[in-house]
Amino acid sequence: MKITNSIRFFLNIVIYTLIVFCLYYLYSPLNEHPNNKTGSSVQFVYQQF
Amino acid sequence: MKKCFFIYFLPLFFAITLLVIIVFKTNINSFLFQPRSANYSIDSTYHYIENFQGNQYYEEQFLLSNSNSENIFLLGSSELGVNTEATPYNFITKNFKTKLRAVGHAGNQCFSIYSQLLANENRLNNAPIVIILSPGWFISETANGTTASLFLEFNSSRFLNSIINNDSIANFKQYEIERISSFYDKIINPDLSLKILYFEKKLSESFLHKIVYFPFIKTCKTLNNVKLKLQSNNLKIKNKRHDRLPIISDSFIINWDSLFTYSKQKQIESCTNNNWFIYNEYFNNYIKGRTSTVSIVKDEINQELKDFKMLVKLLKTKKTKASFIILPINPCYYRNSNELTPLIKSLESEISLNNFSCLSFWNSDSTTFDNGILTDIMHLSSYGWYKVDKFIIETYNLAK
Repeated sequence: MKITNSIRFFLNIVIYTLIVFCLYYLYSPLNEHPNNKTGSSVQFVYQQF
Repeated sequence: MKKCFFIYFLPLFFAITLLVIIVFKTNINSFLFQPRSANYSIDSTYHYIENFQGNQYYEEQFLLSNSNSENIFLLGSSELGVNTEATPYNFITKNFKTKLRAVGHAGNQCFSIYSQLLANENRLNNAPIVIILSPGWFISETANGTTASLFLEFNSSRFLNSIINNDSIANFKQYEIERISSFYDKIINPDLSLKILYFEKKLSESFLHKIVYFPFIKTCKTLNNVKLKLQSNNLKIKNKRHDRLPIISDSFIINWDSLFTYSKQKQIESCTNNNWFIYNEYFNNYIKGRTSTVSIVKDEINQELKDFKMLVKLLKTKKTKASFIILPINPCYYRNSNELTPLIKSLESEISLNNFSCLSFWNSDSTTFDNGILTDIMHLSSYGWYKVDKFIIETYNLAK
């Protein structure tokens, strides 16, 4: 039982670390995805100004 | 419980700790995540750009002198798109050692300009800046101030980060935070810099907000710092104070009277199908003999007016060599333009109270209006632009 728990402990370390790093990699600290756009078609309003 | 802690919580704690260490290790991050170099088209001799659109080169050049001459920066909105020989970025740049660069297109109103200047506050001291105020900014819906989409065209995360990381401009920064928060909900998928500014606003609302938003802002700031380190070349604006070059007065004689007479005559000749001095095509396509009215917004709820006052305050505090031009609107087309006069007078008085030069074309009386100064209902003709040229040349002593 003790051996099984130790194996599960190390296995969980590997799995959790992989998940956490995978999420970080997908997020990417470069944070390039945000597009900073609006859904408005405001340019049309400004045609006269 | 002990088993659960050993098997689940301890590995999770270990994984998160390892991640936090990696997040702060710049060399590991720069190995894993390499920033792409932006590929923008650049015209190093530009006189006019519509917006920055995140173009690093144009952002870096903003408010800088040339290597051997000073640059005057002309900021405004749609009128800058009227590209004639008389437009200052052509006329002054062609005839004087001191160059003039213009930035702006329709909708580049006071808060957009304020934010661009605030992001480059280390370049403001003695900077020659001319701002063109359009009365259209202060009426109807446009009096709500710069819109989110327009703001983003001119204020990239590079500019916003410069504001976030500058602690010497606390009260101006607070206004920036307030204004961004007012249109934050219109931005789809905002980036870290916008989130930080928004959370700053939330944080200041109450003690409860402070507790709730603290982890969010802390996380955003940490991730933003990692991003800034990874893109140090792209994102950071050099904080070094910019030394301006003296403006050289050229020996250049201009016969203004003949330029005015000729250009005014040309403008009047292009308006043969109406007596409102609007050029024929515009009158045929858009006006067709109709008139309109301006929708006045009370001063208390006029956001654009508040933005204007903050802009003037910023220019004054930073000892900028600023000047203003107030455009007219066609009093024949806008029947009630006289109702806008008190607001224009308050703009003029705010400018003069702060000792800035101002050229005001405002005249709501159609009988005394300088016909030919506008090409349509609110944009300057060549005649109007020559008047602006004369004002800039005299204000900044460009000619001996």
